[in-house]
Amino acid sequence: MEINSRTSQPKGWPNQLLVWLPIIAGLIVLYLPSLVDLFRGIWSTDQQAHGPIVLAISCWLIYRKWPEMQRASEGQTTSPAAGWPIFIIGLLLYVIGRSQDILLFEIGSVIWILAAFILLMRGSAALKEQWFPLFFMLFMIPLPNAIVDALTMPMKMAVSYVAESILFWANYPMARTGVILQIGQYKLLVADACAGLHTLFTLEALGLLYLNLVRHDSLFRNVALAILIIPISFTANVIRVMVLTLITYHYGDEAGQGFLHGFAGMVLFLSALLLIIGVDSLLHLAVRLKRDRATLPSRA
Amino acid sequence: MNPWLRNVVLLILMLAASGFALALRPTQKIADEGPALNLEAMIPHTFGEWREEEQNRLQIVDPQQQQTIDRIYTQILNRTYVNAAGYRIMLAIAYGDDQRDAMQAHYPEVCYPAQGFEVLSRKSGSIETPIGNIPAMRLVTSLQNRRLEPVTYWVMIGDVAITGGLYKKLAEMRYGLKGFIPDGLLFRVSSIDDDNEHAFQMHRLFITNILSSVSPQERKRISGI
Repeated sequence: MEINSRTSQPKGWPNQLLVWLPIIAGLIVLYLPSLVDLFRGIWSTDQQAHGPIVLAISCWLIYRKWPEMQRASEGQTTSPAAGWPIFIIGLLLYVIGRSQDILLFEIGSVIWILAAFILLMRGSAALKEQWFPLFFMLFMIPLPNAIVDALTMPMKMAVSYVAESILFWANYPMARTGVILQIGQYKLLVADACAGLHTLFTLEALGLLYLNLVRHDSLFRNVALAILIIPISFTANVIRVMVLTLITYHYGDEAGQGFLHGFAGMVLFLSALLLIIGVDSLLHLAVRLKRDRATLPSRA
Repeated sequence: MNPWLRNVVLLILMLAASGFALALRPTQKIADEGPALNLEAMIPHTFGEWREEEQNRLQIVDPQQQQTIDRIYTQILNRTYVNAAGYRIMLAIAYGDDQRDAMQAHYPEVCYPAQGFEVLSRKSGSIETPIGNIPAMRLVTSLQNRRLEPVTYWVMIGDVAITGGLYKKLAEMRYGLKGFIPDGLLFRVSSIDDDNEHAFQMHRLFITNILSSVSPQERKRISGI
């Protein structure tokens, strides 16, 4: 570490790259097979299609934070006492997860291992700078099917129920059996991918990313928005299901299942994003009003 | 520690972990050992006081659902039995030769609600038979409060009967760490009956009858006892 901090920048840079080389090689050996399996397997399905996007965004976030991390950890001591145990835990999770097909452990281990590297190379100040990208990676970990199914079902039920109620109220010929919606002569099954936990996850990820990029100073606004993303994602899901139902009703089954199905997916994200920005602006207004009111008496 | 030395140590540990993971990966399918399972031939058409009722009602097949079923299970048995008193019991057995994460049995508490059934209650317990006890789940489901359909089911991972959840993963790992990929089986019995206690009692009798009409090896494979 001392060598690095004392050498001047032009000389230090390639040297530093070389020092990281064994780490990069190790990461490739560990995770390239996992990535290949993921892309061939669940990342190619509708339900987990957000996985690669989350990974790409996480990498970009780490890259973006890199200079700040270097600055913050300059001259700081590293933390081997925390780094080594975390590294070993990560490797154990990897071995168990990879060999026994527990994706939760296999993919989850990458967060432990990256955190360990940062602690070992640059210390705890650097980890503090990089916490968000590592936290963001949580969203790319595939959860076990049993958990997803158990949580997805009530959500699908609720989405179907609300979509049915609204359309029925708007005088459409709607009926519902479980998660099967019937409109006119068409039957639609609200599938996992349409209103599942994964969409909630993707939207929560999207919202947190928005928060991180916009960078509020108000803690209240951050926490409130992070919690509000859950009902927002629910609303966006209801909108999507309703849009699909209406497309099917007015333009036929083929339209509903074809190109416009993908279009309804876009509607989901757009409506979620608009809702997030809208709610955020409202929160912003609320915070400002409160501040104004707090400062008014002192002026008077 | 010298950063170079440290990073090389890290690399060696990572390579070792990668090797371990590869070596510990199970490769041997249990299903490929021993005689193949043939559900159709294994479960008799008549046993005890039960006989199979010919099904001639129209089946509507959802192609997407059928595709999922074909991907997950290698064999499926669906039969309705009736006893002398006219009590009907539906038996469904689904068998898959590889039950790991991506392809695993779908539990009735997930499937039933998706079809419009409500799960009214859900209890884990055990079925007492003269030969031994089987851990099982008991659900009471209803279709829009019109008909009650109590369900008794259990899941087999290899030769171990479980009721799902974490037990399933643990049972799989017990095989996996020895290098075996276990097969899986879902054994489900249900009847349309407003009296839950009576229904579960009938399920127990039915299951006891089936188990005593198959060979001990087959019994082990479908019930773990």
